[in-house]
Amino acid sequence: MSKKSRQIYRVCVLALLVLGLASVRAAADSQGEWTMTGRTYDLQRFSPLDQIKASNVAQLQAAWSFSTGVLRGHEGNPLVLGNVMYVHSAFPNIVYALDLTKPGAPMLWKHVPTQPAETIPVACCDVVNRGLAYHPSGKLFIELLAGDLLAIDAKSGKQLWRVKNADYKEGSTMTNAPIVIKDIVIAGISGGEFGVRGRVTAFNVNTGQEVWRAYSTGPDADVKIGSDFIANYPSHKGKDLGVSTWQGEEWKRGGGTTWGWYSYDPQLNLFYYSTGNPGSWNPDQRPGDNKWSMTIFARNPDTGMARWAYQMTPHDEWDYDGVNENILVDLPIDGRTVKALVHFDRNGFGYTLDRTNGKVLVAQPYGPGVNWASKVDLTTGVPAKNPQFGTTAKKNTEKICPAAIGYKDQQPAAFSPATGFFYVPTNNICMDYEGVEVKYAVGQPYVGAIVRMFPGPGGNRGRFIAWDATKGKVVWEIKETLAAYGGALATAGGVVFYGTMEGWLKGVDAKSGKELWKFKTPSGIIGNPMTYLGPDGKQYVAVLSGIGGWAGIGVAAGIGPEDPTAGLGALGAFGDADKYTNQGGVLTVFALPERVASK
Amino acid sequence: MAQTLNQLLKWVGALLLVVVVLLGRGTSAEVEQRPALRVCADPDNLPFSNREERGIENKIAILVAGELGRTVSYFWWPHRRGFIRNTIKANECDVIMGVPEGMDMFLTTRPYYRSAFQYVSRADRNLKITSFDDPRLRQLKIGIATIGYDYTNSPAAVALGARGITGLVGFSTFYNEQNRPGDIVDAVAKGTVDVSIVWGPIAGYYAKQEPLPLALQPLPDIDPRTKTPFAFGVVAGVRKSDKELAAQIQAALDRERDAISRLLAEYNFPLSDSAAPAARPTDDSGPPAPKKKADRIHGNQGRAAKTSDRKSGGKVDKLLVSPEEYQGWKWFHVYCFRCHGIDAVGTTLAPNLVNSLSAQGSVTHDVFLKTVKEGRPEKGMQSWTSLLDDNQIEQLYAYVKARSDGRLARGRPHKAPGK
Repeated sequence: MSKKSRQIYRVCVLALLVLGLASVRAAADSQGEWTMTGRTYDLQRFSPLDQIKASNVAQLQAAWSFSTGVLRGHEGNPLVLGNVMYVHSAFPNIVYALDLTKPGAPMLWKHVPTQPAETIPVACCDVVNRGLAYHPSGKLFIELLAGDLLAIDAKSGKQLWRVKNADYKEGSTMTNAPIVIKDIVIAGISGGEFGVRGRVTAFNVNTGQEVWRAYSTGPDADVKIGSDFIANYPSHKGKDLGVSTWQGEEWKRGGGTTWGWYSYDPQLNLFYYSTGNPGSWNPDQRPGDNKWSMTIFARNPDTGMARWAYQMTPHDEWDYDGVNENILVDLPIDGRTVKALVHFDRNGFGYTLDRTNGKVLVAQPYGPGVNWASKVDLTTGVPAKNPQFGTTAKKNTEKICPAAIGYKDQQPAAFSPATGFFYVPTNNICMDYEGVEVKYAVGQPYVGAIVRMFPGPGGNRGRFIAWDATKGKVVWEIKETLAAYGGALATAGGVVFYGTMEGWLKGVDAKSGKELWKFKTPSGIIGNPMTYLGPDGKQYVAVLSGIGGWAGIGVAAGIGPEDPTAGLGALGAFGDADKYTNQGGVLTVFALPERVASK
Repeated sequence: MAQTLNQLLKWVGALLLVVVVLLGRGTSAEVEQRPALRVCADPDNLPFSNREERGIENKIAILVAGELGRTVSYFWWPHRRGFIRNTIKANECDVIMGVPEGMDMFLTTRPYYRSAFQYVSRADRNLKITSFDDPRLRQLKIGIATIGYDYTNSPAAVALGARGITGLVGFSTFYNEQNRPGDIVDAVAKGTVDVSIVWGPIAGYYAKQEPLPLALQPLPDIDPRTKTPFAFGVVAGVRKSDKELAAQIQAALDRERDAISRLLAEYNFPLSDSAAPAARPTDDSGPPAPKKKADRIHGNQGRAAKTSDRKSGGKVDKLLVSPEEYQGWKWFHVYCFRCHGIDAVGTTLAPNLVNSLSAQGSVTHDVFLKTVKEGRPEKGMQSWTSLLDDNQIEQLYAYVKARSDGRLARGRPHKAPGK
């Protein structure tokens, strides 16, 4: 080789090296990012990062923190895209971009949407927001409480467009994290306490124009049920069930709101979400199954057409909103791998469905003493209700388990492919429930029940459990004094993280549930821990604290414990939360000390 | 606002509660057929009460007890923080005389007199101050009572402070050998201060004892700027559960009206005749001030659960309600609570209805019905006729009234069994 050719060879090798390193780096980046609410479309809330592991998590320490400047309840989690973290706040739904390349992550921009304060009392259960969605063209989306879907330029923080999807004056608000699929962004609505009509709506990410809208009640055309809809059970078969399973025109104010977490299977091209309580909590006013409230839907995101639906709680008498997240996991069941959907419902049952067709494979209680139904019949898909715990406006029905807030509410569970377990933060709350015969008027509360909640069996108000969804069995559990009302995070490091209403962020062993680490954040945690790889190559764990939400409404809104029916009943169970924690939205970010991380 | 009002009332209470006196053990209650009327009072707080029973409230207590065919026995406790807790709440007595109207820890009678704070100055200086905005107040030395026992400012301090008026001389209300209740008036006569702002009964009583003529000029019933009330009705207070006793005392006070008038003249109390809403703020943003209202004790028998229902084993059940009140509670807690707060205690969005429907509030039965039906759009209150019919609004009223009257505690009420 000549000298010259040797030089060329060197340059090429160098170039290869540089390119190669860059591609390795790119892979690491996407592994270390958190680009959507559940990290991935399947909502597994699992991170492949493993620097922080069972053997060193005990040394995890706070690296930096950031106040959102908002006092009310903070649900959801930030996103990390490249070297920027995007943080959202409770109403007025401020969005921040933080520069992770600089010490202390200074602000790149701050976007404060203008929203009328009259929205506040229209939000049933604190003025929370569950987070952002991102489109690779550099757009962020947030659902504003007062009813507008807002698109922000991720680089500048400037508004791109803002369109109306709900109207607080009519009782509909927005609190959930939207989902971006291809070039649409799908938003839901809240307002099941105001007689609204639930729906999901897809908007063009570039223009904000509506692409389709699918209602939770009404004729099949509105619900977007067509000829290829799969109805597995007799109670799901028939035309226009969204009208015929209601009395009169009650379906028009039938609720079925859509404020939970959304998932998506790109291979099946199905978008999954579920619907909330039927309008008026007073069951006397709406005889019938009240379809499609309390229902898991699978829809084609391109057209909005429903592929299948499954109603978990027909004719709800307890406010068991079905909105909880649908986690997509391929599971070994009966010797075959099933494309499964796992859902921990407010009604106390943990469901495992075949997500290709909506058939229920497993339905078992994941909390103690579920008594409104003895079981779910797998051949009919219908729960066997226990009449003793049915509710009415004629009397106060006592000692129903679980409470309206469910054995689990919005706090999303996580799944670890390493252990095969689901990690589920739960409430352990029961209730008394008394209907109230209410009339409907636009924009007015349409609650129709007075609820008192109280601690469930054992007296501990929360549990953090590991769940085997193939069998429907609790593997281990950790008792919590208050509810585990924040989400869970599973990691390849074998550590699972979750927050408590007192404000503890805990790291536990994914296999055994043994507590390995904890840190007391500034306020109660109802948000979801997440993890990312910093520009410095280190793994960080971040969580929003800020007590509130339904469980923490007492502290967030300053309601005392004198009346256990306050806060739609939550004060009966959590009236003492203000003894443990105080208000304030703060993001706390954790890392291992330098010497441990480099090992 | 409610907070401010409570503080003010507590403060004025601190001033007035100093009550009746008697040689407690001297009255031979044991020979009487009926047990003595047990009164709690400050042993050293003329003109209201002292241990020698020379205070006006001592004398009124005897009049009342006489009407009831009973004698008076006393439990003495200096008026300090904790007075109510250590006296009537500790069951050391059954009545406290001379309570300012509107203290929500009691069931009270109607006012048996009303007075107002007074500017006290030497007559020969001819000051005739009638307003806090009088520019001379900025030059004068002004005597005021100092910080209350609960560390709230006196009403005068609030009103003067709001105007940036300094030059204040404080007089302690912790009375002892050194600090006497009359000092604040005496200082005017001696020239230590130019003018004192003094609660009417103290002003009148001690001014009369001064050799120099002093001029008394009443303060406005309410300071228009800070909404601080300066006129108060004075009532007798019993435990909220003692409805029967309250009614008996009311009847006795009514019968002894003339005798009480003579005593008030004898003690030289300057009376405020603003029976009506003199002390009401002109808009609802200020704290409601006391006003006379006729239905204090007898107002709600129609809708209330019977008193006897509310007791079990001697303990008053403060969550027991009539079916009407229960239904009203349900309406309230599916509709009204969002703005008016759980248990009607108010939020930043809408007023505390427990206060609004009380004797200090402006919301009568008719006003309540009208407001619920028609709304007050300028205040953000909507019309509820699309959701509640007349009967349901009456049920709502029955519930809020029960809360306002103190018959119903906070929390989930329940109906009497079998109803």
